[in-house]
Amino acid sequence: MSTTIVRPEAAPALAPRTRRRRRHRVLVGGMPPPSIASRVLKAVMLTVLCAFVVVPFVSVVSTSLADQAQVSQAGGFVLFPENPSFRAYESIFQGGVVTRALVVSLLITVAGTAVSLLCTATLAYALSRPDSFGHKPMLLTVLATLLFAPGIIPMYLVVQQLGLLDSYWSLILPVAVNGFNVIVMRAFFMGLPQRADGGGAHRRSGRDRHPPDGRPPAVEGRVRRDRAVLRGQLLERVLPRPALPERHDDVAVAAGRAHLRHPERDTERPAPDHRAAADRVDPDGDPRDLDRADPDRVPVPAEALRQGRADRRREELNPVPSRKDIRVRIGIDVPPNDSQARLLDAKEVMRRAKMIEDAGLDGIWHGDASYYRGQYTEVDPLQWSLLCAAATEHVEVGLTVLQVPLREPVDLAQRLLTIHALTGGRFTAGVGAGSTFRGAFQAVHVPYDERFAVFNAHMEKIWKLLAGEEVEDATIPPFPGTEGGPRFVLGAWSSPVSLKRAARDYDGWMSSSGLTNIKVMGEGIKRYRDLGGQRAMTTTCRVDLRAPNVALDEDGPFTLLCGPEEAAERPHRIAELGFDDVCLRFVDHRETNADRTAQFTAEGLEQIRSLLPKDTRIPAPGRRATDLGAGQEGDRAAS
Amino acid sequence: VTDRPHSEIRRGEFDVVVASPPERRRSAFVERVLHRIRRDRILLVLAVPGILLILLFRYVLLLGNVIAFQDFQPFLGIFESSWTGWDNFAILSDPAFLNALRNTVIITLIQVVLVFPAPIVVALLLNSLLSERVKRVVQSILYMPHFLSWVMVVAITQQLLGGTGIINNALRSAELPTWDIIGSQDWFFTLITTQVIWKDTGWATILFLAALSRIDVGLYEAASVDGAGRWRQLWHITLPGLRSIIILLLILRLGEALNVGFEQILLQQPTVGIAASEVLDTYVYNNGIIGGNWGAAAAVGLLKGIVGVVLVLGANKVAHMFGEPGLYESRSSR
Repeated sequence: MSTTIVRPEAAPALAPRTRRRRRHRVLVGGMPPPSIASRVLKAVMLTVLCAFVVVPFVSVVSTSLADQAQVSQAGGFVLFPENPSFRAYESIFQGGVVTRALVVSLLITVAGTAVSLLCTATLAYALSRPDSFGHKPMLLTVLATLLFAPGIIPMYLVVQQLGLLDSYWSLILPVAVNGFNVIVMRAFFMGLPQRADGGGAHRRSGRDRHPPDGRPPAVEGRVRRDRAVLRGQLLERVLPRPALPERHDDVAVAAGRAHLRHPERDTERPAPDHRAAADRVDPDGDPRDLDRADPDRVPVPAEALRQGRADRRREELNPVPSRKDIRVRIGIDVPPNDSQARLLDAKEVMRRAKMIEDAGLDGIWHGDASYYRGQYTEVDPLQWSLLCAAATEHVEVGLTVLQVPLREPVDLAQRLLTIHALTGGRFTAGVGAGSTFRGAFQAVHVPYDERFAVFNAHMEKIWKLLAGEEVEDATIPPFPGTEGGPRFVLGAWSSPVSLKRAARDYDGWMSSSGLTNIKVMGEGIKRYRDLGGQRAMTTTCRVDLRAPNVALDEDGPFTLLCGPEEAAERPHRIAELGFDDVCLRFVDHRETNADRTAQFTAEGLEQIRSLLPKDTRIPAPGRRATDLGAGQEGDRAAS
Repeated sequence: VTDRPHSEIRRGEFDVVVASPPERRRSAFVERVLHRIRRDRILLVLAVPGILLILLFRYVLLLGNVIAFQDFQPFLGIFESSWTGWDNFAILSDPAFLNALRNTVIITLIQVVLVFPAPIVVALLLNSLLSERVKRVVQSILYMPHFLSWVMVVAITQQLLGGTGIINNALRSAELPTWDIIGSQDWFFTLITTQVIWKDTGWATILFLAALSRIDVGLYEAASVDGAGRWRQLWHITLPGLRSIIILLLILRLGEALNVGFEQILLQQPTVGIAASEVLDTYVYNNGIIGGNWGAAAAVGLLKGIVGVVLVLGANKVAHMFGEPGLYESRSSR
């Protein structure tokens, strides 16, 4: 059995990405709190509403407690009893008509509610299993009652015919079952998870909770999924949000079994240490997830947990230089086609990547327009990035941005981990919920409207997997030194919710400069900085230095569609706003798109580089992980 | 399908299996039904009490409407009373009936316009609150009146607004003319509308709040990205999100169009008088059960029910035309 020792100097840089917690302003529905005036107005309205309800109530109670003199004097309405007494109550409980009336009312109410609840709940439950016998006619019977109201006289006749006149049952039975209540309750029952093994739905037994040994793994997986769904629903009740579609879990389970269980994971896995365990502890996570996260997890003293987190905070993986000497990094979005719209071959891609590095630029980026019916062939951005990284020595390679909900999270985690390891930590994953093309979501059966929820759930899974945790039986034991995976930058518009996530959970925020305007970008970056966000990038900044010189339009998108003189000014504007990175995309300023790649020459790149002297730019982000060779050295040294 | 062993089917002709005699197929069908009944027996047992009550008090009850065509005499019963054809429907030209109809329609119109939107507004207001605790407290307070009976509500109204109620006592002590609200025919519609709003608005917010909580937060996120302020979000996200439930409840409300607060109005009839307060339900009650004019009252009740069904079906049709699911979907539109 081999033991992996993480080299001490490498360890800080290898620890998984930090999830920072800060205090934030309260945000409601993604909006900052409303103005004082509207809050005051609301308070007044609510107070009036409540008073409207409460005052008559109080008066009833007060009147009942006041003495007779005061009641007569006040005309039967007393707000503050002067000599409170319980005489009125004493008299009604002394027996006689009122006492009897009270008892009868109470009995009818209790019995009526019990009968009604019993019949409604049982019927609703019976109707909640669509495949059961007689389901449809029974449901229609109930639904049709919503259409017509019973008449008084026929009701009277029925009660009379049943011999229920002058019986308490006449007050209970006719109103016991109400179609509307049945339907509401049925909807609730239908929301509960169905039985896992697909048998008769009504016999939900303890087996669900304790799957016996020997049950086929698929069934076990579904049981787990059901529990997850149930948990989701309980959560949903507290904190409403769209539930995840179940099929993702199906896919994850299947994929996890098929591909991802490492045959020798027990021997290959790094020895558990406190630091790694601290990384696995997710303060928001479900404690039950922790239980099955890691079978060989050792108990970790709280002190060590705290220490682990503090260490990681100090040794921030993505050192962003202090603000004063910041300019911007410039990255290039590599067009996938040559000028004749042919897809480049691998050699050509690598040649172009080398050109970018040789020109002294800082990053090579590629977007993800999956399955979009676009004009160009869209390439798989991960393969593309790997080629670019293979051809270069030190530039950052990355994505702007990967549409995570379109991918299967476990598979994606593996690919991200792979490219992270192969690029020696030069890879940065810009990730987002995606919004390019509704059809793409339909094609992979992800509800477009739930893409944010799917995205967040996918990211949680990916992070867990990259930290070496198990997700529904799947693990991807990271290569030594690659725990935590690459830098993740959240590609999002500037909504407060996204910015908060970017600042709290991600290594940076990526905004599009092509599709918003400068004002919005300015507001977004300000909020992001207020939230304590670190790296800020802006992508899809169109560039064509052959365009005429025009001043930058503050209401328009940020571009470099201008002559070289103006172009030399504009990056400063971006730096002033507070962005650290700008990713340029070559276009044709005449918007013909025909000449998209003509500028992609050594001279063109050099011209762009010369817009900002190199020494005024931020150095490339620190390497995320050491190369694998070093890890193996450490390994050897240990053994 | 059959119990025959595999080998037999393979050896025998395929046609034989398909064209097996009818009783054999029926027995297979029966077999399957029995199997399903056996499988779902617990569900079926659970459904029995509720279904029986619904059948009895909603469907069998409809048969009682035949007395609309009878000169119904309670001591003779349905089977002995004589048939009179459409004679009972002559009541439709009775001025008292027309008055009741007029009052009913006016009250319904007022209530659809004023009472129906009230819980929506309150739900939106509650939904916009930041503090979960304040929201819950206010909600609980607003629910309270729902649990009072109409007798209590009417009693409270009399204590507040009656001739010796707090307002009139105050007016009297200030030597101002008193204001007879609860006895006034002019104020009656306002009075009962206010009572309904007071009693049930809070309770009715439940459904709207539930619908509000199901609106995808991502939509707000996206809207705020697009620069939509609160009002635009309300208009473009919140209200469309509530549209289905609003339409559903409106359809159901229309079905109740001719039922306006039977108990509530009956309790207040003595103070206001019949002319202003007689509605169809009280007319049926007073005329039929109290006055013994069974057949005519049943005729009115039957018509009322038919109008209710027509309104629901019509409203549902309209909802479909606007692309809403409405109360149900017809088979063809699926």
